[in-house]
Amino acid sequence: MNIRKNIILRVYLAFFLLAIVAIGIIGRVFQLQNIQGEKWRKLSDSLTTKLVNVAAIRGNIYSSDGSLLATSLPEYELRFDLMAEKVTDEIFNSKVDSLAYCLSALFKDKSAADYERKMIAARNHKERYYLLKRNVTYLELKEIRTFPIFRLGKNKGGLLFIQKNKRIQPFKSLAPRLIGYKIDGVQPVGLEGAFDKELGGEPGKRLMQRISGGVWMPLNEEDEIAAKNGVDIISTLDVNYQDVAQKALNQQLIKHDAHHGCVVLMEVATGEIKAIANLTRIEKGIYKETYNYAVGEATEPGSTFKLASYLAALEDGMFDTSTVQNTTGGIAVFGSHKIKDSHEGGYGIIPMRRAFELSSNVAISKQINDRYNGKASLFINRLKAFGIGEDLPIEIAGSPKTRIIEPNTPAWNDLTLPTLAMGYAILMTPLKTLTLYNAVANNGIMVSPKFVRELRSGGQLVKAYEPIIIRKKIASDASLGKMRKLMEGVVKQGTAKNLSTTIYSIAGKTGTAVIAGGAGGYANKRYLASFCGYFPADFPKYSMIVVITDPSMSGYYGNVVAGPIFKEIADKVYATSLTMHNDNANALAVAIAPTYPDAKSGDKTKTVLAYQKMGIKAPANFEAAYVTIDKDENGVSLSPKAMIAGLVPNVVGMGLQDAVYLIENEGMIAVVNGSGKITNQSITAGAKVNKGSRIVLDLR
Amino acid sequence: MAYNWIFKNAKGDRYIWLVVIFLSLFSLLAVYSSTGTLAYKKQHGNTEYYIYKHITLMIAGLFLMYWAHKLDYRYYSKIAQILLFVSFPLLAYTILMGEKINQAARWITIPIIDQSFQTSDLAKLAIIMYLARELSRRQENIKDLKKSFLPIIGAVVLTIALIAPANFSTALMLFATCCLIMLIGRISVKHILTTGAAGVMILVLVVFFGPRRETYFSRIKTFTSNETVDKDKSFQSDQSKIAIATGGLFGKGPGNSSQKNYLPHPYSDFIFSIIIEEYGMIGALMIIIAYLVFLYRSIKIVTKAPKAFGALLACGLSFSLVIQAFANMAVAVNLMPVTGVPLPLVSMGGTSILFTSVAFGIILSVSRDIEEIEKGAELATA
Repeated sequence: MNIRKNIILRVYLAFFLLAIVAIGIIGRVFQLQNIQGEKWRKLSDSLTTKLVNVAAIRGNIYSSDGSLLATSLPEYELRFDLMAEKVTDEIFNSKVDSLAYCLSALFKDKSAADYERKMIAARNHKERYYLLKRNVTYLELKEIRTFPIFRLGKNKGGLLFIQKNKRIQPFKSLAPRLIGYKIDGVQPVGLEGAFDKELGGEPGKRLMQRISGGVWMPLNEEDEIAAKNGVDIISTLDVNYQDVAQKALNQQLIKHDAHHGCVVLMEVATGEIKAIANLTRIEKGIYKETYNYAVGEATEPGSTFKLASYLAALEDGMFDTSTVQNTTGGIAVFGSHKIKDSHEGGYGIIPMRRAFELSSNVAISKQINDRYNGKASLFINRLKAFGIGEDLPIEIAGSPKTRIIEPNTPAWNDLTLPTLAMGYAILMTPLKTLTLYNAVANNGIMVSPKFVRELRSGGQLVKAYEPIIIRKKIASDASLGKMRKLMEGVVKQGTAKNLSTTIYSIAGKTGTAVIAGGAGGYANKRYLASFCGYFPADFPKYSMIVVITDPSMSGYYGNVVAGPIFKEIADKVYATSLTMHNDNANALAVAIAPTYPDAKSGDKTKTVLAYQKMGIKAPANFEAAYVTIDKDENGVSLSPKAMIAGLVPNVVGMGLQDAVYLIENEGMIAVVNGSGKITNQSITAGAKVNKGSRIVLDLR
Repeated sequence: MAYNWIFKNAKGDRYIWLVVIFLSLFSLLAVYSSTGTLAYKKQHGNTEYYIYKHITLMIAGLFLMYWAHKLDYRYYSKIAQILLFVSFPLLAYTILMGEKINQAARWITIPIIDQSFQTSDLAKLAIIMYLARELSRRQENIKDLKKSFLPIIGAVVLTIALIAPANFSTALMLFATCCLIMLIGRISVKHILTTGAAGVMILVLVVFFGPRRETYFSRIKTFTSNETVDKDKSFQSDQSKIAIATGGLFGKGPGNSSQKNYLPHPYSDFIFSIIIEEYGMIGALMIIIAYLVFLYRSIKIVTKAPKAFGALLACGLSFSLVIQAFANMAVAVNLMPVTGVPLPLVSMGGTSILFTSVAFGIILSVSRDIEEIEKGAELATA
């Protein structure tokens, strides 16, 4: 055989070999398709995939001093796959009673027998997605995973859980309407509603696969598109001022058995709302926040509106504060209608300055009516120049429009001008009245109230909200100066004498309006008592409005009902606000002695990491989820913080987020006072938990 | 148009050209369908990104094939030598400096054009061409240990030793292919068996003590004891089997694969499974027959080639390609443990398409030469 033929023979032989391999591959395909086909096709039926939205973590809402006002906690829905891989007849039948016992002992909502019967029924129905329990906390879930059957392993033991995020407000009763909520299908409220997009972030996408019985399992380790977590909102609220405002309002409402009331505290220069409280009577002596009156309720403001009337007349040169006016026995007649002063018989002949201090209705309505006679639109336009009638550029929704009656319209009559002068025939919200007063205090610069200082993401600034200037100058310095003198006079020698203090001075205006209520109209005599002003009078730092609606006991005058609230809040704000005092002693009192950095007790790994980052030795050679921190001149030492389910946890020394998490996990309700680290808890650590009971946490 | 152009300008075996076109078209369909998940993940849903890249490479490949087949095949004897000498340092460089994917350094990046390529692709081409050269030159004393076997096996072992650290399965397959070519080239069976035995011993050593032993272990264990291993480990082959089983006789139709979402590298290592899922048993048969037709036509070249070099060059390259193709299929149908070999001309695989195209071009060059001799003979007898 020659070389050539030999090679060719070998080539054919090799070809033959490869042809056999080819046949082998085809045979294998045939085998997979026809002989094992059933098995693989069945497996494939369960392999349905879909892209599922992965919820982003909703941002927190903080107060301006860093306290947590709203945050999200994880919560789980428990499902039981009764046909899971390892849940065999043998295992199920022998363990179901102990599982039922454990569940019953943990949740205490059904008897063990009840649990057992229902699980057996579910197994008989071959249920793969049986609902065991909703709203399960993380700690409960951790425990449940150790229960009989479930401890056989993830998926295999049949325990399925779906995470849901529950929104909580750690300071439950603080400004709940301003913080608001966002629930699907319900009109969103407050900051949660206004900043829903920012807080909500962007959901991610994850490819999920249906494994069996409608259970979806992620296909890949990571999300296909990672969720973008929501940003945090730093609101302008100050937790301490808010607390003071709410307590003062609550007390006074109870005292006068009023229907509802609101307080807004605003920083003069920036328009930042430091406190906003709205309380409604639920039953006698019990008030809750159910509606944001300050933003959402437009009423006839009454005498507090005289500020606008006086300012308009001063600007238009209609009268001066020294112009005298006869109060004509306390009664002025306009057509068929009489306007009365609250003081029977009037005040005689007085200058307009005094008329403001005494809040004479007769004087101002006569002056405005006479001076603007035939020039009503001049007055209306002047009011509009003050920004009255415009919507405020605020973030939260639900503010009604201010209604002004225009001259030469059917609604206008002879009575409109004199009554408008004293704060009737116009509907506006307390917040808008406050904005006007704030502008007077702010040298004529009208800034809009604002509720949000900045948006932050992971501590990084995303957006800062600068003050919004509505009018650069609403009136001349001369007129503004006169108005401020008038308001100081109200407190010094006028209707609000009860508000005068020796340490600092308040300036403002009382208001006592009769409000149209129900079928009886004005005849029904419901009152609106208010006080709007600012402090300290010589160097305005904060402006504030207090409005109490329908006080039914112990008087109804603005100075009596609303004034004390104003004073109480102003006193506390003045006492705690360093910037209003001239002595720097407090600032210098900050300890100069070197100390090891303090930390709040809390999550162990995070605490250890934090100290590591600072290069401080903080040994923690023990197993614990939470730690307590002790420090002295030698350094920092950590010790385990015992957490036993069913017993009240020791949260003293912790930050608020950790503490509320632990307390809510135990089924208790945290009531929070102050901000900072927890210094005291109302129920002693180690006591048996009473689910649903309140535990008061004091923070400093 | 293109068809006519090819028949006018392209020389060499028309059936091989047809196979090339047929496989390329299949490749376009299968790659476009199977890159959806990848495009979604990495290109924000720009599903055309990968197919355009693939088309560009395929066109470049066709150009290379055209030029390679225009070149007189005798030049490849010298080129083989140069390529082999170039590939040794490149392989060494790759082991030391290459980019690591899955803990194996297989790729180096060509500076300036910034294109990474797998050096073993180059070495594979080089060693097979070199084998054809050396075997044909030593046919007189082919059974001689010192004059023929040792110099030839020396080059083979060096190449394989340099590929093996990073890409053991490729090295193993190349070794088998080289043994087959040496057998065809009439090297003593006794020598080859001895080498084979030595190879098996090295194989055992590497599998049990090599740096990537964990990978090998799990893959082999998965293959041999499918039922007992963890579900996650047999995931790839199970998904592949599902693809094949659900494809049936006629398949689900182009673009309708659902397994492409689960299979890793559905556009390369497991493209055969996707083809069966979308085109059924019929599709599988067409692809297999295409490769067999290609191999058969290459053998026809061998039988007609006047010189041993041409014959061995054509058969060495064609066997190498078809063995690689069948290895890819064997993995897909789970006749072999999972290993990453692309399906020649079909898989999306960057630069390996270019080397495959050059291999086709060289075979066609031999074929073109034979055609011209036959034409010359016809003219002479006429």
